[in-house]
Amino acid sequence: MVPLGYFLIAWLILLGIFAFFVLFTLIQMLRHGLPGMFTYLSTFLFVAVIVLVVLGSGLYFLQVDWNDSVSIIPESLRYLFGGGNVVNDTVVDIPL
Amino acid sequence: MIDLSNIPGSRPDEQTIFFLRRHWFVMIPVILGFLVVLILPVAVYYIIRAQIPGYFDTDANFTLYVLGASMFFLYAWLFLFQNFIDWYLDIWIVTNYRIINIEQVGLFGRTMSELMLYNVQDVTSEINGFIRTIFDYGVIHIQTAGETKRFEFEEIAHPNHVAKRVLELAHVRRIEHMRQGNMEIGPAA
Repeated sequence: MVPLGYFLIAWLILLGIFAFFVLFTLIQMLRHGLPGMFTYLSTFLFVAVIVLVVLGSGLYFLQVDWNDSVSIIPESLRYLFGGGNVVNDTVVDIPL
Repeated sequence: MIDLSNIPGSRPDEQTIFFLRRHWFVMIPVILGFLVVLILPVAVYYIIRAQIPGYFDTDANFTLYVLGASMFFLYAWLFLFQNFIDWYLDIWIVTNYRIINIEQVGLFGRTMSELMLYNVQDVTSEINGFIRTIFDYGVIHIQTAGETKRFEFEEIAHPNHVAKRVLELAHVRRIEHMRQGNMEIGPAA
């Protein structure tokens, strides 16, 4: 079981890297693009979608209990990763 | 930002004849690829629901999915926009004196080169393939005097028309240049 908070930290790190690339992308676009409606509109759309996704995810994350733990491997597949021969809460006897 | 009315080193009587970008159709495969990539998180959601019923019943599992899907979407969106920038910022400007090539190479690279029209010796337009023929776009190769490297306009619209016009402009400029006693007159356009 992995605490959910660890995944949030990983998400925030990836978001930081993403923000770095977005910043460079915007600088390139606004520095080298032609002044005009299309440049401003496409840049606005790019930023607006990012803001929507980050805000939407952020609002959802506000309600999440980050102390909760999560199992990456589903219960039914755990026996594949050395978790015993348990399938559907039933011990399976393997005849030798 | 680039100001077309104030190109560096421009002459008082310099006029922009063509302002060229790669054809819009070049972006279609990128947009289709993006749409396919967009479907992936949704497909993963339905596959998990079908294979492991009840997986998303717990809040923790659903949160894990939201974390992954949102980050996946953000990077896919960035990838699409960078491809758009690569297309949008690659421009070729043909004036009555010169050709200016401004090229975006990845996110951090940018090259700018220019060629005087009186140096142009040969202009070749090339339209290969079904899609290019239907949408009338292709490549123009411009051979200059004394240089082995060719100047290229990649995937531009109406290449035959542009090539013809560049040849005409180059011929006019070559005559002007010859009048100034700089070089011999080349072949007629």
